[in-house]
Amino acid sequence: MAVIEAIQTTYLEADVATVEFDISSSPGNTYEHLQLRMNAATDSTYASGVYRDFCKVFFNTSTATTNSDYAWHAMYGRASTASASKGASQHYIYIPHCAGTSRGVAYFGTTVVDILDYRNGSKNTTTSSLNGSLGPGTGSGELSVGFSSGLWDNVAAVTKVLLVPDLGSNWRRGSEFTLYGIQE
Amino acid sequence: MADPAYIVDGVLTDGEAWVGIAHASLSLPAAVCTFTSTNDGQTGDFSQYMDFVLVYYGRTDRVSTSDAMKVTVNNDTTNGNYSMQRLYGYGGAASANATTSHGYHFGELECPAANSPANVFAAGVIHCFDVNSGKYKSNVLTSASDGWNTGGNAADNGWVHLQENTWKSQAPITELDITPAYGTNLVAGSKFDLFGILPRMVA
Repeated sequence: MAVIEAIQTTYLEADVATVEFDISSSPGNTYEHLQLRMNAATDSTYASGVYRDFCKVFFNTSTATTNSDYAWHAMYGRASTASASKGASQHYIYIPHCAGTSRGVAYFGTTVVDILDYRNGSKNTTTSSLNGSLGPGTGSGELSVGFSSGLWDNVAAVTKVLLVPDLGSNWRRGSEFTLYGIQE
Repeated sequence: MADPAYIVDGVLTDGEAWVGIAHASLSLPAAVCTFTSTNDGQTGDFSQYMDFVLVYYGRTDRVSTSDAMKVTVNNDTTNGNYSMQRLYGYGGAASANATTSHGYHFGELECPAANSPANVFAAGVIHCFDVNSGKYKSNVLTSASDGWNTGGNAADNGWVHLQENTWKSQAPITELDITPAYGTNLVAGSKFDLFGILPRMVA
C-alpha cells in the first residue's frame, strides 16, 4: 500500500453550499492521518472592510451543527499587520482567510489541513492548517496568510468532514478539495 | 510471472499520491535550478498533476551574511505579475507585509550566504495549487533560515517566513526556476525536490 494516497477529489463544476467527505468506509477509514488540500473561493460579495473568506470545518455531520465542542487559534499576516486570534466553545473549527471571494474571480485561496490520528476513538481530534489568500486589492481585507490550529473536543473517530464557507453562501465553481490518507 | 508492484494478491492498488518528479542536488555551484515539464505523458509531465510540492535546502554565494532565492514561473520575470503576503519572524519580532508587485516572484526563500558560518543552509516547503487550472496560480510556503550571527545587523540572525504568493496568470505551470536574488550562484550542497500531487476523481 502506498504511503500517501488520494482518497477523493471534489472539483466543483457549479457553486455548492457545502463540501463533504465521507470517510466512514474503506478506503477513507484505513489511514493513520489525513491531509486536506484546498484551492477554493466563495461567492462572498466584496465590500469595504470585508476580508478574504474563511472555512468552517465540522466533523461527523452532513449539516452545520451548533455543538460548542470546537476551539481554534490562528496567527496571520494581513497587509502590514501581524496578529492572532482564538475561539473557545465554538460550533466549528475556523480556518481564517483561506478562500477567495467574488472580487477577483481568478484568485483562489490555498489551504493545507492536517488531521492527525483521526480514527482514534479515545482521543480528541487536533488539526493544523497552513493557509492564505490574495485578492486584487492592496489592503488588509485582500491579502492574508496564516497558520492555525483546531480542536474537536470529542473522542469519536472522524468519519465525515464538512466544509462550509463563512461569509459566502456557496463555494464557487472551480474550487478544488482533495483529501489524502497517510499510512503509518 | 510475478505481479507488478501495483497488484497485491490480485488486487489493483493505489499508487503513491506524491510522485517524485525530479531531484536536483548540486555538486557544483549553479546559477539556476530549473524544473521543466517533459510533456511526454511520463513522470516529468507537469500536466497530469493537481498540485506541486517543492522541498528545498539552499544557500547562495552572495558576499553578505544572507540572501534569498526566488522562484520564477514559466520564465515570467515581470514583478507586477506576482503578489505576495508574508508573516515573518526576524530577530525578536513578528511582522507582516505584502506587495502586489513582487521582485522575488513566486517565492522569497531567505537563505544564508557567503559570510554565514560554513555548512548552514535554509530549509523550506512550497505548496503550489491546481497548477494546470485556468485560475491564477497560488502557493503557500514555509521558509526557515538561521545561523548567521557574525557581522551585520544584530537582528540579522535569521528569518522564518510564512508566505502566500500568487502568479497572476491563467496559464498552466510548465517551468519553475530557482535563482539567487542577489548572489551569482546557488552553492554546492543545495538540494531541490519537486513532487507532483495527484488527485482522485470519484464519480
